[in-house]
Amino acid sequence: MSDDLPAYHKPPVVEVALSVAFEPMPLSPPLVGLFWDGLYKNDLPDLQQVNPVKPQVEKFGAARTRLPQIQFELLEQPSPSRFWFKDGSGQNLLQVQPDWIARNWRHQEDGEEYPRYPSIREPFAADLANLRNFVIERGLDEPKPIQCEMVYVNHIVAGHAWADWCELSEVMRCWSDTTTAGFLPRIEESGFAAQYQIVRDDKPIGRFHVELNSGTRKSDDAKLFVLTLTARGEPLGSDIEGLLAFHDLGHEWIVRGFTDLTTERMHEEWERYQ
Amino acid sequence: MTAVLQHGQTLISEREWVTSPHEASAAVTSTRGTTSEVAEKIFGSSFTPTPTRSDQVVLRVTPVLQARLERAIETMQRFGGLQSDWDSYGAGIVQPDAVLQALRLLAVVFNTRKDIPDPMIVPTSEGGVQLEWDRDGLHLELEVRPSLEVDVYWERPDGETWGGLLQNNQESLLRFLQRLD
Repeated sequence: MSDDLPAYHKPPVVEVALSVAFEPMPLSPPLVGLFWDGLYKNDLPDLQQVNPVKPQVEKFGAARTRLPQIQFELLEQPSPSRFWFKDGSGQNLLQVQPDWIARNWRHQEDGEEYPRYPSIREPFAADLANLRNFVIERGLDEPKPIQCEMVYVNHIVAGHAWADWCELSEVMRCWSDTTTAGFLPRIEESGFAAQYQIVRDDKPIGRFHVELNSGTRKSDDAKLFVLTLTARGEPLGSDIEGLLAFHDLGHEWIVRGFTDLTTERMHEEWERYQ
Repeated sequence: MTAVLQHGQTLISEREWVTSPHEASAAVTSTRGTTSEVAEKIFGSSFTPTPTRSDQVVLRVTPVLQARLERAIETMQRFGGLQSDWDSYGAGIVQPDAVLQALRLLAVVFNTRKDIPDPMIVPTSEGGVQLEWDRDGLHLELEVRPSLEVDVYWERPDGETWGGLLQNNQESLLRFLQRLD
């Protein structure tokens, strides 16, 4: 992990999610229940069954432009196969389905500090080891990772630096309020999306996605921009260290990308110190 | 039997904010001339597959529905052979993402109302896909745009029409689909 990354005392991050997608494993609901009961029942006691997600995989070149693939899965009845293991506060969440595992941390109370990446990485490393050991102990094939993902959700709430959604240029350096002929009135609300290739040894291995939306916080109707930064790509090795190596790289892209994309005025508000 | 969508919430904080105060009220377009304004959301989130730019789609259906969806896929595959300006009025090519989103939407509609007839499926000039149903003077259109937004338009036998973006209120969709059964 790089230790010269930009750093803030009060970053606007409200949620972080680290995940890995695998080739599907025969993890039936009873097996996931055993996994939870044996390893997580105490720390993450709230068990819920929810609809599965389809893990996203970045594609490049010919693989990206080929015709869509359409598959059918025949069901006799719906069988939600994703499980949430939550702690009592709802701050920490582990998500498990046969082809995907994710750990989420969410901000909960005003004034609470973001616990920093290493304190989320460490339990996720343990989750990956637990999953690997669990399936091997049951005579199943070792998990075969295919994609790593890291998501940071930032709630940039209206305050000193900006008051209305039309002032996006006060927040995002890549945005301009000026128009060519001055015809358009004030922006009512705004948002954008961008993606960048993550290249290693001249080969694209993943993407950095930026998505920004105008929004309103439900708890107090405060205006905010929701800036979601996602780094997704190939594992840098098939073992757990290789998986976490991509997350480390993704973390660097997210932190440096966040700093690149946002204005110095906002950096001051977030108390940048490095 | 119920459809199981591939998409689900993966972030906890998704529940803590809404996109804007405007989206929660009327979502009516005036582009179709005779639309009437409504101050309610129209479709249920459980009916609305979240758009993705993935080039794969997995439709989780029963064997009966698979046959119906395969017919729809066969129709949509023909859209892939359309060149730009296929209607001689400058039409765009049909976007694969819109085809996949239309398939997801159709799977959800079929799973919601098993007896609903197969729709007519046509390409749109802007590169999207439109699903159309006609029965006893009722007309329903779901148009998946290349942006993956879905426009809804319906017309009743008495001439009343409604148009708007696919939104969240499953009861309204159910009531309308029931008339097509």
